[in-house]
Amino acid sequence: MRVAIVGAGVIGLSTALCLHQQYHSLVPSLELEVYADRYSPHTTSDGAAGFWQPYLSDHGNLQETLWNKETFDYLLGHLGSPAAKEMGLFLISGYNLFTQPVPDPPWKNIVLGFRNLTPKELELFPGYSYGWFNTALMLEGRSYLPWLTNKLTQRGVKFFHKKVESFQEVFAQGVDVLINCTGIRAGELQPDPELQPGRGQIIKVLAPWVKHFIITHDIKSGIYNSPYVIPGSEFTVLGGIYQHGNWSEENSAQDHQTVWENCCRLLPALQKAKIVGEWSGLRPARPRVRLERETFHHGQLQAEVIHNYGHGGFGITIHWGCAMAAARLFGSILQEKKLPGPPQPRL
Amino acid sequence: MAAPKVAVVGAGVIGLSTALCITEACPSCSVSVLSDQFSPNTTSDVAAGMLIPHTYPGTPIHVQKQWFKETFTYLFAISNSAEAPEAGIHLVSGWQVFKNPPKEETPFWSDVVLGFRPMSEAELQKFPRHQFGQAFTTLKCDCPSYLLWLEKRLKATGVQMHTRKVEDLWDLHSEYNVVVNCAGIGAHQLVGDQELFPIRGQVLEVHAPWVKNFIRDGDGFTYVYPGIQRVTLGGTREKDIWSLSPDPGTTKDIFDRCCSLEPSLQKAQDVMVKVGLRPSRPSVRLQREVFSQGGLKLAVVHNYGHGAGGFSVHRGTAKEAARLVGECIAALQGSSSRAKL
Repeated sequence: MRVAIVGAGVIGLSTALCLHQQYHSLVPSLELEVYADRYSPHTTSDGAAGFWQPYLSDHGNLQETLWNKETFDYLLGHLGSPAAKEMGLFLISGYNLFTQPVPDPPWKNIVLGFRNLTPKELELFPGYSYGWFNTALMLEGRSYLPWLTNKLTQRGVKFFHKKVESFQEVFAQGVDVLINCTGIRAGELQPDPELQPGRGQIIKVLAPWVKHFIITHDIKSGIYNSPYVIPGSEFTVLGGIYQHGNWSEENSAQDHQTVWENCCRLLPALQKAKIVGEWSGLRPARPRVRLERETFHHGQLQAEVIHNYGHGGFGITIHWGCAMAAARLFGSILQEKKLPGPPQPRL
Repeated sequence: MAAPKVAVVGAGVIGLSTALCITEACPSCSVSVLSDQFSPNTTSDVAAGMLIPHTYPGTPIHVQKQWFKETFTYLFAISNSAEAPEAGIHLVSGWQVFKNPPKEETPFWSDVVLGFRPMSEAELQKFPRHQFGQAFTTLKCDCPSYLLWLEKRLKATGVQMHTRKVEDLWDLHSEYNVVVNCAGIGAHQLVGDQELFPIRGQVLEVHAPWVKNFIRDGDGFTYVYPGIQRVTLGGTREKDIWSLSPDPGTTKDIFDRCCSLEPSLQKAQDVMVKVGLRPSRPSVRLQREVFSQGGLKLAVVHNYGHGAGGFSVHRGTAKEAARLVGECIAALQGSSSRAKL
């Protein structure tokens, strides 16, 4: 059984790993192949800071909250393992800041030590009158993607540097199941007006004295349009741009100014930080994640697609829960195909 | 009296911060710092500089709390300014964990640090060998940076630094009106203080930039303190041991203990080993004294014996020492004006 995963960001690679872990011993004929035109360090996942935190509200989408929780618990379990550093995984504490009281988020019991900020803590952030403190996780794409790639390579998964132009071209090669993890460019394989870019721009600085994440929120301007500071293992990410519908991957001087000034106002100590890079990326935004099966008929044969895209600005946050859900969908495909079980004795 | 001449003996965190407080309290004073060692060769340079107070059995708690609060407030303001990276001051959050329940659930300093609260069950799961814990946010001083920053500010106000080994405070009586004794462990020899003894501490400094939270075992022996460039792993508390040579067996033991608190440290690189002698005393010696020989007098202010808690209370004790220097000067001016009559 040939399975092609299209897309090699965090979603593609983690779905591939999850599938292999769950099914390689059950389906001896299972062959996994990854197709992508961009690999680490050139994916959207590589540019992201790698900070685990869902949006403030799940809009009643309990399923996404569960996937977020599954991901957090899965990663927490790996913290003490020797692989943690190689995965780019570590704990980080910090602040979410607001200009007015807000309801607690759906993830308050998923993260560690969630509490409101004390008045003294709020003194650190003039202009913000309310906030949260908690400990969450970092999972840096620049490390996690190569780690996933290693694990997949060890398991015999093949990688192809190729831009897939259509589902049909993949099926024509004899692939039985296609996992569509194409992120922001899913629309090129199948039009999806609900999928839009949420353009972000970040500045990378050296500021090793910053040990906390600081995410500010401006309810009026929307998620990620308010300054944020996320310290990584090598550099600190400054951000605060979310432009819905903007497809440009070029850095904008105006956005640079916005991010720099806002973050320095938030954390005066940043004025002395050395800028070491800048990056723009397109969050694959969608009202909800598209995680579902689709059956294609070509000729006499039936081919299956599992869509797993549209994770917006929370791909790393939700990735493992989605990978597990995709694996369950794969299981139901196997069920339907009534694949042979263990070898029968010869009569 | 013309500009009173004040000599501060010692250039660790206590000496330098005391000198700074004296220039702030007495702008007309001429202040000099005399020391045989300057950063990076002082005891302070070895310290992790975490603002977690040490409890002095011989000092009233409300006094210790006042010292800590003043120090915390002072550094908090710096940490929130553009000077923070140069001064080496930053906030850090983390956990203090206990294998056995601590004597007091809420220490005297719990309302000075930020966000102090007991750890949740979920947080404690990360520490299977520990039953109880406290979570809070405090400040850390990167000691060499902080000392350099203090030196820079002192020089900007005209304070002279002199590399000089003072064998006897009385040697200074002809050059200075007031001598401030911030000699730390050196006071053992300098003034023959039998109550002062070293508690040797060995620490490792490693490159592990993914460690963003501190972890401290409440027994005080094992701790992981992330600094600006390096993480300090500790440590030891060896009473009456004077050796400044790193011990390889101790290095391995510290590393193993810290890895059991934070397994990812196994991948730490670039281990540096340091040793310092905490200048320990039942209480900080913070008092005036008058030396006299043959009709001549020397006003002395002692500010030493901060043991494991130097950074935590340095600004508070420096301000008190500066106040005592002011008293000495007033007394000297009083007696000199009386002499004129």
